[in-house]
Amino acid sequence: MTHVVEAIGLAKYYGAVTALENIDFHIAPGEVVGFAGDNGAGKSTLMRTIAGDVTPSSGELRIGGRMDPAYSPRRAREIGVEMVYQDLALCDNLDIYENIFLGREISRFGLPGLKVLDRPQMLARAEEVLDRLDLHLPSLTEPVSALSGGQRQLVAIARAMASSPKLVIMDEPTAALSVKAGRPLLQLIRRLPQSGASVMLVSHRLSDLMETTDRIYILRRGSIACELKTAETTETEILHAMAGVGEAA
Amino acid sequence: MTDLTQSTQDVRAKDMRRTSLASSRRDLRLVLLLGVTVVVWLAFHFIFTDGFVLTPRNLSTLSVQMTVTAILAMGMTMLLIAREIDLSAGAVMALVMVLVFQFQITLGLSATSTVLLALAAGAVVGLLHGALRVWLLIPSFIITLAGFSWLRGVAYIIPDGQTLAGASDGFYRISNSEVPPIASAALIVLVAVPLVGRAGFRMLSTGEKPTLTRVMEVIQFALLLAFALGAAWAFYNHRGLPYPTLLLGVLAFGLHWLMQNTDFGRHVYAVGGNPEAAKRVGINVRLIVVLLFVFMGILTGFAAVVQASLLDAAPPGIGELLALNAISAAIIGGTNLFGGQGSIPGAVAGALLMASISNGLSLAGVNTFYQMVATGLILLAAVGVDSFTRRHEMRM
Amino acid sequence: MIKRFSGLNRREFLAAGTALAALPAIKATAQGTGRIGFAMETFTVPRWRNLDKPSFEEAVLAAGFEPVVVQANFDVAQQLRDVENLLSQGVDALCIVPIDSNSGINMARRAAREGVPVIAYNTAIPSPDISAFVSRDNGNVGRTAAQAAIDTLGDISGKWVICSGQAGNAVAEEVTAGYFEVLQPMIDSGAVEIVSHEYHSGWDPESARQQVENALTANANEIRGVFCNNDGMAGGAVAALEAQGLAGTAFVSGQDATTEACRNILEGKQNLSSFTRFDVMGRTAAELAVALARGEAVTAPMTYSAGGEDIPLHPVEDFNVTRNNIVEYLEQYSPGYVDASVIVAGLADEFMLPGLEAYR
Repeated sequence: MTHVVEAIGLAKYYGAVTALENIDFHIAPGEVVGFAGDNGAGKSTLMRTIAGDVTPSSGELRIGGRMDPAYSPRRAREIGVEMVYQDLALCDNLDIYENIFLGREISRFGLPGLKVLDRPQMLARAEEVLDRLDLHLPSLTEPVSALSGGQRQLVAIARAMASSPKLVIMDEPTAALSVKAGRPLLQLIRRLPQSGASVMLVSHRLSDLMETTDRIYILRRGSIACELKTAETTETEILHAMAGVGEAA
Repeated sequence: MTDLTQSTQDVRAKDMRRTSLASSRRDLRLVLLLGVTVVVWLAFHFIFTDGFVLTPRNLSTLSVQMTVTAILAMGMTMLLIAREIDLSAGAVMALVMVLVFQFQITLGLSATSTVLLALAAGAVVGLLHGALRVWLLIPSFIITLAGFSWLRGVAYIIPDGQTLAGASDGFYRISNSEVPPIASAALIVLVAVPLVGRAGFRMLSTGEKPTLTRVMEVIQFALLLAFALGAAWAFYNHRGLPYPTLLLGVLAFGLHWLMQNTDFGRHVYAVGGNPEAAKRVGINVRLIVVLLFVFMGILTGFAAVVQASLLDAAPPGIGELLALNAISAAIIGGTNLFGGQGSIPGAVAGALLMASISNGLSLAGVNTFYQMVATGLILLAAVGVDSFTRRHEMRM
Repeated sequence: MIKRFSGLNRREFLAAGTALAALPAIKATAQGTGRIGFAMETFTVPRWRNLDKPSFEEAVLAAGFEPVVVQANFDVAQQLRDVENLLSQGVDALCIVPIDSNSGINMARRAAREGVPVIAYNTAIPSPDISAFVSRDNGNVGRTAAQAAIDTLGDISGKWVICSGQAGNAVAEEVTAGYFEVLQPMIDSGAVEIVSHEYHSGWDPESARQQVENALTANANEIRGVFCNNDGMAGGAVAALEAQGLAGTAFVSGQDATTEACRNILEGKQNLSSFTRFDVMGRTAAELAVALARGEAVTAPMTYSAGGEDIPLHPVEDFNVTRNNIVEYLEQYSPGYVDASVIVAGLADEFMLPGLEAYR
């Protein structure tokens, strides 16, 4: 079976600083995999490497079984790797459905560089995406500025899912939300594999990881300290792994 | 699940008619602006002058008097939406006008070549500003503030401070001719029928809509109809549709379509709303900024051609305050100084209001000082109303 | 060798004392630097570069003095530095074109403290430290323009428009006042009606064009003429009149005799443009400066009221350039001030005058 993402011996050095080293992990189709770690453990660098923003110093990164020497954020999106940023990257002044298709507008005709928008199609497809994810928003033609924090998250995820990606990387999705507001979001994350997307979930909130993931990798000082099966572990064990307690020398 | 499907289907049908409350609110603002303009006309016509404002002759004249500011206001709006600005518009216009007369008098070029070269000159300046902005990362305020000075200097240097006058007949005709009356009326009808028709269709359509939207649809239909009939009447009864006004119309329709119906337009709003986000989704922000400056340059070229032909001269000192007037018109028309909001029709409406006040005061024999006061107060009022309604919204 | 004063008698002592007291005055007037300074506001505009500056320098040199001319590029702070530098160079007399009248007061005071006589040039400095003011009489410009209308048209009763320059500008205000001096009796009797009078920020030609256009609208084209404070605005007025087919019928006046105005005058669309002999102005100022440097007294034919001060004005000739004298005007002032070849380029034959063929 081809993994959606497979990292073999990934490393990233910034001069004398080791950001990542000995990174080996994989994400299979249909999985929600969590990444935990303290600040400075390398979560951010790892995310950006998978998203194409950072080029690894050494090692292999295979997406869908293939390596791409010219891997970049654009290439990543082309081959089905989407990222939902912590700040969501939404434009408040644009409508919901315009945000969902931002940068990838649907058109019926146009010249290279100038596309004539097909708004009915965009609206219909936006509806479709939300249906698929079993989400409800009041009206897609309202600007994003009118939404609550939780609803904005949904829009950001809808945008990521609109292109039917293979992998969605999520950066601290519930960070700005209350526990109550975060509930439906977590349930959504759990459901994403049903729509064909594996999830790489990076989060501080261990309860989130426990609730949504199949497996969890613990990052410590730029390397993967261990891999845990969510069903068989506890928050305490994760914490210990993050801090390096009980590890043999 | 059936219920869900039912309601989402309804949602879909409703949404496709674009009944967004936010866009209805924007329409309301534009309608109010036009309403204020009509009140201004009525006041000057019946109270302050002996009925000189609402005549075919004056309305035709007014439509030309607003053209230069309106053209620049449209380009300025696009820049402002994307969080940029151009303070050098007046200086660039003066420079292109000077070049126009070099082309006409010194080089003896045809009117067509002159116009094309004028647009190219404007584009080159725009390209320069855009390049400085995206490569040296200098804020556009500073780049164009510098341009306000040095481009003006060049405009003086080329003709050695002199005002050249007397272009070819062909060039003179550009701003001083009209489309014949019958053809004008036909043209206006041709353009108005689909617009009024679509507005009427929308008004009569059924389905769930917020009350505001309903009301707006009726008003918009009525206004469009009234303006179309009024324009046809005015131009038909006085020599026809002036070329500058025709040019303004073509540019306005084209730019409005571009901003509303293309991905480029969405990307401009995105860059203004959240430049980081725009970059993250793969929008080429730098290219868009450069293009916006080039557009502004070309539009300034059009303005220069119109103004040079109107005066049949190129005074190097002309248009000192033009950039500020264009910015005022854009803001009165609903453009947000800090980016993300604005529209082409709004810019034109803002310019129309400003020109209407200036025209009315001049007809009434009132001194220019009062015009300056009026423009400033209108600007404050427009922005004040915007702030007030926004605060009201946030409280809700 | 030390001289012992105890040996001086009373008369010698008095003589020595007087000589010592007179030393500063002698120093100022017969310092021997022989320099005359000129602090201008700009060289870039053709008028200054081609008329005022060269004529000034020529006349100063002819009198055996050395001219030192600098310009401040419209920057007031720079001009103050220029004046200080000229004073440290020890000029015997100083001419100033004040960028800003009131900062000119300070500059004049500094010069006066060092005993250097100051001439205000072109723009007044409202200060008692001014020895002379050389400029045109702006009121005369306005009066002769209005008078020319009467002379040309005979009966000037009817509706008239006035396009004035920047509000607050001395030239704009005084020229406009000049029109009213001549027109007032007819305004009072009702024969002449000023239907539109506006001041235009920046002397903007488009603003003037719109004013005249609107005046024509409001008066059913019944406008007899337009008085404009400068040629830029006159150009705008001509454009508005032309659109109504009135160019050549309505009377139009301007000032500065620019390229555009000369062309309009030749084509019959503008009646006159007032021109001040800037070369004579430069020469006059130079001669006055030399006289003052030599310690001679100068008397002015008239006074000018500036900011509460009456300063002695030496007016320079201004005259109206019309179709009748434009050929002589161009002979004298082209290509230095205007370029006649540009003026006649593309001019229709029917408008040509004998004497202008040479410029084609």
